[in-house]
Amino acid sequence: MVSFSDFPAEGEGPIYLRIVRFIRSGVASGRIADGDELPSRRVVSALLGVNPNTVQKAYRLLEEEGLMISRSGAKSFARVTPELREAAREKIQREELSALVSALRRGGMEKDAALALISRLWDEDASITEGEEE
Amino acid sequence: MLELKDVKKSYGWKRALDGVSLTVAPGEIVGLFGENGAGKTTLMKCALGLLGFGGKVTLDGEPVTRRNIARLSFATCEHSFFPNLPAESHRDFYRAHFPKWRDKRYTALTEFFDLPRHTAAGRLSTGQQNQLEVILALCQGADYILMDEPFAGNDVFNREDFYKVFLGILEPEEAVLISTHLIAEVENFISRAVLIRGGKILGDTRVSDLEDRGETLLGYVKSSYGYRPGRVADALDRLSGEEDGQK
Amino acid sequence: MRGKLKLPVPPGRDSGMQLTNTALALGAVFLWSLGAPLDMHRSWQAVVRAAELGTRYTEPTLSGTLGTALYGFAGVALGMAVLAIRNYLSLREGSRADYLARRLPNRWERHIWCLAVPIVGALASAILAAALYFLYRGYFFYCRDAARAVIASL
Repeated sequence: MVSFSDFPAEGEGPIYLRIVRFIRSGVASGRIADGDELPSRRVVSALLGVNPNTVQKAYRLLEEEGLMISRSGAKSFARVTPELREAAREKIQREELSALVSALRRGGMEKDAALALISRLWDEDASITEGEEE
Repeated sequence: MLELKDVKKSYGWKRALDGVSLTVAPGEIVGLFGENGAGKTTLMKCALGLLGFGGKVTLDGEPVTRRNIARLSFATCEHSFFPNLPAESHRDFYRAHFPKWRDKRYTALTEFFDLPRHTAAGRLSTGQQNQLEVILALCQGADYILMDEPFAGNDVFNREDFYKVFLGILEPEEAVLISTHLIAEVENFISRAVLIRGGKILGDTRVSDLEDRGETLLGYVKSSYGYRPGRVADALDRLSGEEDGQK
Repeated sequence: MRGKLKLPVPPGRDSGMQLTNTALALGAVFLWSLGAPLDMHRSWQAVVRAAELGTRYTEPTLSGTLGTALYGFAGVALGMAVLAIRNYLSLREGSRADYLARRLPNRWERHIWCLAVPIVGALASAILAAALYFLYRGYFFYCRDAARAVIASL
C-alpha cells in the first residue's frame, strides 16, 4: 500500500495538485511500483485532513495521466511502466524548471546569461560531487 | 437537501438576515464565513427552528417539523449540553430521544479524544466541552450537522485531529455546515464556501472551482469583501503626511 | 418508597429534592392550618362559658375562625409557579441546553420537565386546601351545634 506518511506538510499550490505531484514523484523515483495499491479516497482524505472531493480530483488526474487505475469498488492501483516513469520524471523536471525560468525572467535575466549561469553552476556542482567521490 | 429560501429575520429594527437563500446537499461540507454579526448564527438557528423567521426552510421539500427535526443536529460555541450531566448520561439521553443515534461512533470518538465520560459537562475544560458538543452533534444520527464556531477554545492540534477524524468517519451522505473564523485552516476540509455579510449572501463557490481558477480561499474572501491589501500602507502614508505638514 | 416516586424534571435537576421540598412545604402549611380548628374549639368553648356566666357573647363565624389558616396553600401554589419559572430558566444556566430541548422530536418534553412537579404540587395544594376547608367547616358546625345544645340545656 502506498504510504502518505511522507506527504509534505507544506507546499505550493492547491492541495489536489500537491497530491498528484506526490504520487508522480513516487513513480519517478521508483518508490511506487507497478501494481501498488493506493489507499482509498476516504482514507487519504482522513490521513491528510482534506476533503474527499479534492482527493477524487487528484485521483482522476492521475488516472488521466495513466499513472493510476481504479478497479472494482474503491480500490485503486498504481500503473508504472518504464515509459510512464520516464514521462513522470520529465513532467517533474519540466515543472521545476519552468518555475525556475519564470523566476529568473521575473528577475530580469536574459536567456543567454541564464544558460551561461546554469552551465557554470552545473560544472561547479559536478566537480563538487566528483571531489566527494574521490 | 436542506433549503433556505429567502429567509428574513429582524431583531427590532436590525435586519439580521435579509433574504438569504442557501442550499446544502448531502455530502457537502460547507464553510460559512462572515464577520461577527453578519448573520451566521442567526442563519443556523432559523434553519433549526430555534427562531421565528420569514421565508421558508425545507428538508427534502418538507418544512422542518417535529417529524424530521432529528435529521438536523447542532453544535454551538454556547454549548447545548446539560452542564450537570456527564458525557455518559448525554449518551443515554440522546439514545432515548434520537432513534438514529450512532453509538459506535460515540464510543470511538470519546475514546480517541480521551473525553472523561463521568465528569459533569460543566466541569470539563473548555476544549473538552467543545469536543463533547461536537461529538454529540456528530452522533445524533442527523443528515445535516450544523456547527456554529465549534472550535473556539481548542488548540490547533486538537482542531487538526478533529478535521481528520471528521473526514474519516463521515458517511458520504452526511452534510456539514460549519461557521468559523479560521478561513485558511478549513480551506482543505470544506468542499464549498459561503460568505455572508450584513445578513446577505456575499459569495457562494465550490472549492473545486477556486482551485481551477488558481485562487485561494483567503484570496476569494478578501476580494469578495473588497479588501485592499494596501490600505494599511495608505493609512500610514496619510498619517506621516499629516505630521510632515505640521513640521 | 420515596426513592421510587419520580416526576420528570429538566435533566440534571433533582426530582427527588423538588418533590421532597414540595411535600415539606405542604406539611408545614398543613400544620399552620391546624390553628383554625383549634381556634374554633376554643371560641365555641368560650361561648359556652360566657353563656354559663350570663355574660354577653357573639358567636364566632366560620370565616373568622378560619382566618388565614388556609392562605398557606395559596403560598405553596405561588411557590409552584416560581418553581416552574426556575425550571425553564435552568435550561439556560451554564449552557444553552434549551437549544437541545427545543430540538427534541417530542415537542412537549421540555414542558413536561418544567411543569410536572409544579402542576402536581399546585394540584395537591388545591386538593388539600379544599379537603381541609370542608373538614374544618364540618368541625366548625359540629362545635357550633354542640355548643348550642349545651346552651339550650342551661
